Amino acid sequence: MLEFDVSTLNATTMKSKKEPRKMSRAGDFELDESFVSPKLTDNERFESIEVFKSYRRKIVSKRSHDDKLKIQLMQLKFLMEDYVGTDKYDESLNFAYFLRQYIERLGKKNIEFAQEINIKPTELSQLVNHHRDPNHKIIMRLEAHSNKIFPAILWFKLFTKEKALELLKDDNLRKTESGRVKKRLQFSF
Amino acid sequence: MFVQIDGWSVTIRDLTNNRDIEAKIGKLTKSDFRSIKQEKRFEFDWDAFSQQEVYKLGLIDANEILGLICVEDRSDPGFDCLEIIAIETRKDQRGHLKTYDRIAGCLFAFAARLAFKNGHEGMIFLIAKTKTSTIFNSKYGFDYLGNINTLCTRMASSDKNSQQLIRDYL
Repeated sequence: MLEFDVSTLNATTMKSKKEPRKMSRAGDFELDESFVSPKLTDNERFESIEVFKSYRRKIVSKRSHDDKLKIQLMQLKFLMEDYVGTDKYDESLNFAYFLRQYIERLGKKNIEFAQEINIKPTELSQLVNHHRDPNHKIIMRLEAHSNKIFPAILWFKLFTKEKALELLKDDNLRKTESGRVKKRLQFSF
Repeated sequence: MFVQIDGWSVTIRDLTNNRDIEAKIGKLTKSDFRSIKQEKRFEFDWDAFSQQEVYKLGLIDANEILGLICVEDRSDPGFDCLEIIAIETRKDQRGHLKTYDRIAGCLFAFAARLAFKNGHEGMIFLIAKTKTSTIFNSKYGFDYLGNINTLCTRMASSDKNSQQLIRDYL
């Protein structure tokens, strides 16, 4: 049995900050964007998958080198955005990891990338191996290199999250420094 | 390996004053499923999707859900895409009486973003009702992949179209 919504919808595109690229056609005024996928027979499902596979192959075959690169970088950017946008921490998802990913997805060798952002290869090596913290200069260069696709603030938030995790996990320092505090509030929230 | 985002900000249009307002897309919680069932402001039986990946678009201040989308990652060889299983705008947000615009567009764009993030190269697949499929093509740029029968039509969003959806709505 098909499960579709049959109510109508005024699909007029109102003036908005970001106007969708295609205006609705007159016929769309009666259409509803809601739907539920119908239950298909095995044959219908198989055929649908095959049709999609063929469509996908065609799309992939037409992609340029730049198209492929854009897809790779877009995925990386979204992964970074989501990681900095959540309260969850993952030690492996640090600045060095995402910088390595950025360089790898560009298909560049470290030495080549170091030249492009005008730093010494040793400095880059320390950054990608998590042996050195990035400073503002590096972060700004990454923003410029990516043509602002990866803004400095995104790299910076990634780095601060890494530092926040270090702070959260540093029980020794917490204990030591707590012992040095001479007076403290006598209540808590 | 990667963590799930808690919420994604989008801009929808308040048609009562023609102003853009911020809304949020996030995962549907168990209590959301309960309230959707109790309040009966959506037509589809969303309980049927309680074991799947369902996202809500809601107003930040009012704690109101305006739209829902259910998606599924497909990673069979060749069938590498994000499939939209269901999408629904709240009953009162359809037709001439709706007070907010861009709800479905933001949900489609969010799906497009997931289709990149989850490694499907931005490819989306859906099976729409043939009768209403034109809106997915004309307004959201989905390609037609042929009819399954007289009632159902296969549609897909390419990586380029998904990028456009993201630009238009996110």
